[in-house]
Amino acid sequence: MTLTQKDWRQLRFPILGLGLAMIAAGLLASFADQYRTKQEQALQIEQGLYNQARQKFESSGQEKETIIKYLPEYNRLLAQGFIGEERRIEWIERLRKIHGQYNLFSIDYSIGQQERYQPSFIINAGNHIINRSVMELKLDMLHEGDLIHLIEDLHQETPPFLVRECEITRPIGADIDSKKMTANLKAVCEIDWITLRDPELGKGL
Amino acid sequence: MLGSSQKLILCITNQSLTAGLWHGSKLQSYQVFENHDEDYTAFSVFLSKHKDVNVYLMVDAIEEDYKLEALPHTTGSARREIVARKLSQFNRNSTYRAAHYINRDKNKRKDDNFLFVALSNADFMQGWMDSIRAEHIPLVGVYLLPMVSQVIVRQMKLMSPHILLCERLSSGLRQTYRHNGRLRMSRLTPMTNVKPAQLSYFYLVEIEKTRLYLLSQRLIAAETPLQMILPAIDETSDDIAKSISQDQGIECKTVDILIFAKNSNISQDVVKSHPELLHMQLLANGNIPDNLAPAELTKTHNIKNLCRNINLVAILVLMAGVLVSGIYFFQAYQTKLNIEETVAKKEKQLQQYELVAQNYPETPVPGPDLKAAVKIAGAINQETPKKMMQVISAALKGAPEIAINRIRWMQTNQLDIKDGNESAQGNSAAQQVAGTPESALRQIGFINAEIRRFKGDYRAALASASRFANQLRANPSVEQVKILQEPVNVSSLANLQGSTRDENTAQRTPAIFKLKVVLKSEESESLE
Repeated sequence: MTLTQKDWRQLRFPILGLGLAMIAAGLLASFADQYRTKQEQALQIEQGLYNQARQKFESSGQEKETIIKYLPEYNRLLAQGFIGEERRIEWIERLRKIHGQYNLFSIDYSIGQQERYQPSFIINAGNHIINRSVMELKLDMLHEGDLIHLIEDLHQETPPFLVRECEITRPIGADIDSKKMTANLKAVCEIDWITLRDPELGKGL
Repeated sequence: MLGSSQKLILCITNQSLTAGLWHGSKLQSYQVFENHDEDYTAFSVFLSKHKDVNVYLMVDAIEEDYKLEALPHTTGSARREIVARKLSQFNRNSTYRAAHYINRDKNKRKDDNFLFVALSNADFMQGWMDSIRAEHIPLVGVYLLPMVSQVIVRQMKLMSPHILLCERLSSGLRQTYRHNGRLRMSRLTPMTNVKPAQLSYFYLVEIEKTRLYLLSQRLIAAETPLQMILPAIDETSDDIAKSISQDQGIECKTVDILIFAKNSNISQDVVKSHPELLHMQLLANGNIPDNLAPAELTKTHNIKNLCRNINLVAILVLMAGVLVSGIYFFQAYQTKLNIEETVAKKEKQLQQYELVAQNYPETPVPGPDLKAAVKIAGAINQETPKKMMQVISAALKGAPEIAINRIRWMQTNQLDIKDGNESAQGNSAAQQVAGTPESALRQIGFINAEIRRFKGDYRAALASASRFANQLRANPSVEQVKILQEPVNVSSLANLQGSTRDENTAQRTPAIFKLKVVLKSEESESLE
């Protein structure tokens, strides 16, 4: 059966109707599928939250013990400045204090911009955000004990930090004479000044 | 949109046209139009009132041709082609023709048997067909009355192998020969001026003519037991049957066609006055035989049918879409219920937790975060280069000829780090995968040293460096010592330059060497 133009005119509306029906059916099914997928994703999220809530409740006894055990230390770290904003002024003041205390030669310092940090040696940071500022200390020394005193005193009076690297050099062929008040050695150290952000404060960053 | 259940069934004879309007399988009304101009006009008016109703056209005419043909067994397009070619050969001039498949031969060739039927002259239909064309009526097909009457034989279960069905119709006496229930031949004889008293004789004469024709066409043999079937409309049929049986010696059987009509859902009275209405009723009941009309005549119906099918597909597509969407929405609804249930359970857990948490000491962050913060502080190694220096000092006691020029001390978890590398910042400690065995920080030192007062005795210098390395290794805190650079490179793979007067010259090349020392981790030390 060959179709003429007149026949096609007759078929025009049914074909158009079929096209519209296919589009409408496709759109409807697609919309329904998207809605279903959205609901399924919402369910997964809610199930995750429920599991967390259940686990939290189930471990509530243990949590109480945890709070009792760790709260004093946490408060100490909070007071020390390990948690919260870096206290750079205090740090520099302590550095100056140690410098004066041990009659050290001049100490050059530089503190870099704070950045997010995810070190491999910290497995579980909880909800905390870990930040670090890379600090460089350069100092001339009478002997190597100056560096040890400096770092140990800083450890005692400042929040925990990581001395990542130190390079101590002596001019080739020169002999160390600790009785003369001259700089026999040079030291350059890189320190990771690590601080934690409170989870709630961290959201704003 | 999908078409009504109304059908218009027409029966054209050489003298008139009977038009019946069916609703489903129920005859609503019928009208008879004679073969003259006034009735043609009336028929056009009648058609214009039923423009969208499908029309089935049945022909009861004298001008019919039948021919039995055996064709090679084929299927699909090959079969269509061979049948079309044979049809052209059978009746080239006829517009209305068809090939009716009968059966397949049981002989070796297993040919297909076809009965070719045609209207040899369709001039008597012209007036009616012009009206149908003019009104663009959807003509479903053109059928021969004897092909419809096959249904009567089949439904009345008339099983004799050789049947001659003699029907008295408005157009005359229709004799149809059937072999094993299949149509082989039919002929119509007008019954003009036949008085009731002459009926038996008329039947006798016409049946004899038919029998002789069948013999001549070798459709039957002389001894073939032919059974005559007379559909009885009135009481004269029994007399005729009796007369034929006595005079011709042919088995003659009457069947009550009025009861059959009643069973076929048509009034006995209308069948009595217009017997062809029974055949029309059978068509209305869905017994559609082979169509004789060419494609161009049924095009209107085919297009309409195509439109209807497209609309049907559109509705099905839409329904499928709605159904699939419905299933999805139902699943989404079920999921939503699950979400609500989960949320309620979560809220309950949180409430229970809040109740328990009221007894907790006041804390700025939850317990796990407290613990994490304290553990992080503990994990930050508070080491200084002190230990490395102590190890080196201890080793130097046994090697006073060695002077240290440089110590590069670092805490890293990359044991293969090289002295020339960038510091461990970021690209070592930070990038390591958390929780790997290498995640613990280790103290590594690169020591640049030289032999004091070196006088060119390379052998002694090598021995001193080696001894110093061994002193370091002997320290229980040391895990690994590696000499990265000897005081002199005696390898065959490197160049070696110098002077035999080195020992006497004031300026000598210093004997410097380089070591890498890895200290044990605190954990492994404590295990030991």
